[in-house]
Amino acid sequence: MNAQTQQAHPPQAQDADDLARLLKRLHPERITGEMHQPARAGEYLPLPDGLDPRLRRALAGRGIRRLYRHQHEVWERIGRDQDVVIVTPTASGKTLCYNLPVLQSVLQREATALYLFPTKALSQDQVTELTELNRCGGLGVGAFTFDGDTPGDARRAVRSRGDIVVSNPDMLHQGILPHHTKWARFLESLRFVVIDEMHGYRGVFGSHMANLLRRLLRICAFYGSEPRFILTSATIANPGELAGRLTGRPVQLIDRSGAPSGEKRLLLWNPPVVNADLGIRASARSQTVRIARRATALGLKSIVFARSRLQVEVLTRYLKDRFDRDPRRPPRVAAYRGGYLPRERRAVEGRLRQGQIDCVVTTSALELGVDIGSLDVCLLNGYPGTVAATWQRLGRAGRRDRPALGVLVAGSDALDQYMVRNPEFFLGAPPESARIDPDQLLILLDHVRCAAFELPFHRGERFGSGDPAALLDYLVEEGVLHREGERWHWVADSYPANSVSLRSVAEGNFVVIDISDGGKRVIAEVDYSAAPMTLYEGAIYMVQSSPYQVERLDWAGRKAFVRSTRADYYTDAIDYTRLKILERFERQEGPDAVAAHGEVHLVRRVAGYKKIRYYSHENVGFGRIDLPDQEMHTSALWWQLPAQRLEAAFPSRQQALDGFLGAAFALHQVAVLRLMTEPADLGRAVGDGEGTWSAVVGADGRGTLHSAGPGELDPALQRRFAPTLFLYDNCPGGIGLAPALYERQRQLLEDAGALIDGCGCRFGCPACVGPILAADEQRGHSARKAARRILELMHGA
Amino acid sequence: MELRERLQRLRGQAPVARNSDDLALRIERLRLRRRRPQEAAERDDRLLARALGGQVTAPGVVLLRHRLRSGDVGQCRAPLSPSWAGAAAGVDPGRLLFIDTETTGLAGGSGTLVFLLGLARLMADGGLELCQYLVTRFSGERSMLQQVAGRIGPERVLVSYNGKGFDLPFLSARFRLNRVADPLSGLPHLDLLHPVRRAFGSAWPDCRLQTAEQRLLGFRRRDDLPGAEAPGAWLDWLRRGETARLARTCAHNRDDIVALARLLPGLERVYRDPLANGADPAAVAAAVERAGERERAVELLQRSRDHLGQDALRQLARLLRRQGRLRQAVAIWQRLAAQGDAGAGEELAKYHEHVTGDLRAAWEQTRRLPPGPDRERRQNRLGRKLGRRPADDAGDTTLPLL
Repeated sequence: MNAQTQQAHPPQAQDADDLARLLKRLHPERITGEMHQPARAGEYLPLPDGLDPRLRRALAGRGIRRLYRHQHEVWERIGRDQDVVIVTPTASGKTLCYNLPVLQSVLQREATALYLFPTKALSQDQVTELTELNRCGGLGVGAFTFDGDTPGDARRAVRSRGDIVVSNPDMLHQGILPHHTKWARFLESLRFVVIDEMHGYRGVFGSHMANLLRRLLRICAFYGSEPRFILTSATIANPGELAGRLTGRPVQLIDRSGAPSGEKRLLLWNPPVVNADLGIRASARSQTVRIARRATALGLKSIVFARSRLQVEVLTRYLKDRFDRDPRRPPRVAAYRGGYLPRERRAVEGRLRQGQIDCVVTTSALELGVDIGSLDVCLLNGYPGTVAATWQRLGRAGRRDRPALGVLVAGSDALDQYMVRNPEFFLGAPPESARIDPDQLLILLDHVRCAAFELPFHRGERFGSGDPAALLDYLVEEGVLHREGERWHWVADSYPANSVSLRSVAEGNFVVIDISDGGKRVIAEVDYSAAPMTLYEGAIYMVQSSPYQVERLDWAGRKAFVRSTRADYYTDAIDYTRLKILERFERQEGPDAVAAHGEVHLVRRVAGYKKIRYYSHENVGFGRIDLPDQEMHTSALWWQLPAQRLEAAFPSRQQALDGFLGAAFALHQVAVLRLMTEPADLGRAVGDGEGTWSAVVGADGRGTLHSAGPGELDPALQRRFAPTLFLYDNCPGGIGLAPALYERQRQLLEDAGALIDGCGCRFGCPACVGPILAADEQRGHSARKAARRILELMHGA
Repeated sequence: MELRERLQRLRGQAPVARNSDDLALRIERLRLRRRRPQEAAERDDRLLARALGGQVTAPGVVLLRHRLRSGDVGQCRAPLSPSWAGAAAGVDPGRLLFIDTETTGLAGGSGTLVFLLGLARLMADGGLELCQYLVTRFSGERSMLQQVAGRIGPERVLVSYNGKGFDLPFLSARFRLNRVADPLSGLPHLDLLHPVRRAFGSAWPDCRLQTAEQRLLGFRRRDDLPGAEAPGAWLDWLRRGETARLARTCAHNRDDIVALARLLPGLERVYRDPLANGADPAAVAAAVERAGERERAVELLQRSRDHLGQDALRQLARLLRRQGRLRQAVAIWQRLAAQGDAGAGEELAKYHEHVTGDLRAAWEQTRRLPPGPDRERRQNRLGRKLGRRPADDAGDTTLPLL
């Protein structure tokens, strides 16, 4: 919206193109890729005829006298009673797309609307925006936020007077739906559900969201309303499909932006290698600081995205040391991140909008739609993890009348290195697909349970696309439901929404309790399935980049007691994960290899952990872990090679095993990249496929075999040696990753091969086949070559 | 049961440890589910009604009626006083409607059923007429709510214990879910928890109804089924047709309602003479004052002067000043100011400046006040009156030269 009203900036001596030219001249070898997007003019249409005169007045008050083409298109489709998803760049006036039809129906039909935002800060922004329009047009529309911070008496006012309620999924799940009778007035008139930042609802969270919307629609039906959905999303490969899966309805896609945009340029930047043997590069941080200093010195306004709060502080200090040494002058550099008080954040936002800040350093907190005016340069200190998030952040720089520059500075981990060395992946390839599985059995069960609490189910009623009768009968057996005649009623004395977390699958999350200053403060929550790998006694657990050490783990009570520490190492659990193939759903047989996907039984023993020093990555100690074995049923993709092929290709089983482990590491990295998923959601393992043994990289960097018993097995002594490489869905029941990976298994093998081929190291490094210890290099046998060979065999090349 | 096995596998549960208890329960549930024909349910209702001494008023609804003589209820004929009775103050006792519910849980939200709703009113002879509506199965809920709605007139004033936070919102949700107009939520409502908590919150370990009953009325229940067991009692009936605990739940609900009626004269006493009843006199006096009875508030505070804390003393002095009993107020302020109370110091400063005209004494008092804009203003004004100008140097706290 601001783009439509903003004034042209006074001409400056230097622009972002000058900086780009300078960087290219100084360090051509560090730039591995470049993308250029020319300026584009805006496409406008007049305000729609039917627009309420009060709304027209409000828009005029904000300086808006016409609409972008896509805003107009949304208006038309809503007029035809369609659900829509809008995918247009940052600052293309997305907000107005939905505010316009929503306000219109609030004014003319006394309708209500529910806005769901992923974060509180955004909700706040949204209400500010609405209040502004309200004031300009004297609309008298009640727009309120409703979240965990809303005090009790204000909640009543929101329920009784809110025309537009701005909330988040967790609040809908735990606060609104289970108490829907209090919201009867609001729900009876509910005409629109607006879901912003839809691309964030993927994987487990997205699957929960789809079920949450099923519950919402079910309650709406009870009150006789049938709201339309308006969704917005950053660029992903399948916005229409995702919107359809989330809402359970066909959703019209609007993805042609009519907003003008200035010229944009993106550089991929790889820090120079400082130690070729170990594959160590200069830090991304130092490079980012240099570029930011140059930009600021040229008089350009820039934004720097860091991946953690700690990094924000460090980068800010380095930049302030340069530009804010004189305390009498107003500061030119500012930090902005979660954890700051709302008042501080609002102040920084205000100064940004007024152009008083030359460089702002931030986390993803500013990635979302907070209005901060426009900037010339956007620096990404490390790859944000997905193509979509990258574009979202880069969109922060850019004005209509001036060129903008983005620089992605790669870190030293595999994902970053793959990205920066394969610019065509990033620049050419379509962005990731966002996948959800609303019918994932455990998630479905959780929401059927919550829905049954909200309203009794009757026979023949559908939930999503299916008949929940069997699940309801299961819940009867559990004693939480009672079946009477044709209806299932809730009978338990509990509030099921409280025990269902929208961000995990299994029940029983662990809480992390900080006991540093004698107190007991909950600082984090960890999934049941992630707990054994992250919360063992002795583990270093990071919260917002601050290290805590786990002192005691109360497994039964689901609590981990931690204390703040200054350790200069992090810990990495060593787990022996044995997988047994239960059922094969599909298989592809090549000349050498078999690829398949199906259901597996997983037994994970977390046996110990390594202490690894920061920066040098050297191993500085071991610890034992004593935890019960974890068992899980999930789905997996796997590759197998016949024993005789391995014997022909490798001089020893040991080398083949090392190859498998390196290949697994590389495949894991590229699979995460391809699937737009968090690395922890996808597991990797090498085993025999029968749950007898599993292989891990041992203390000396070599692959070792472990069975259920203590000690190691010698690969050479195994009667049968047919290693299987697994990539598995790391949550009970899986979330649909395995079949998606299976579809592109050959692509994955090629990507992994390219990752290794493109790496500048000699024997293998954390950026390709995983950390290799020096001892290994001197041995002469290259884990990197072995991994490459395994990938070739699997690919059947 | 393929789904069940899959779920159990996914949820990491042992493949159905069929120990005997568990198995028995499962079979019981299955058996009861099969035994659902309408006639059987209706026969169950009749049997239950007979066991409890009530009558079936609709499929799935049993009504229990009781009458208690005035001797069992306590004397509650005069209208209640406004110092504590809020919405019920001055109301003809015959209009009061005592209300208490039993639910399937404490969690709240739309999944919690009100299976027993007890209502009672005072009769002209001082006795109590009590009606308990018991839902015997889910399908009876709507009829029950309709019957209740049909019997509650708009002239009623509700009396409950914690009903504002608990019973009424729960009932309101049930009316809404069953699409029956809610006859209760709009009624004036006296929640006895509030006057009890006001008077005894600082003195008692808790303010539960039974605590109030014991401490205020000297009455201890025997063989009471704890309210927390009510959900289980109803489930026992629903799943297995057991009536014993359900009968005790009805008795518990009855006792609670009778306790409501008996508390009225008790609270009347407390608010008349807090000290004699172990209540906090300052809190009671504040309530009395809010009800507009200033005289009585002063009297209450004066009577318990030796037991008052600083806040209550301040309150008393304020009331005395308003009544023009300045000398008494000043005595209290002086006592408070000597203990370092800034508010009292300010009152004294005002007193000297505006009443006695002793500006030097006023200056002396002002000087001791904590620094801030208020003190500054007062000092400036006094300075001017005293013939000097310490406009800028408000920090100067010495007496101006005359």
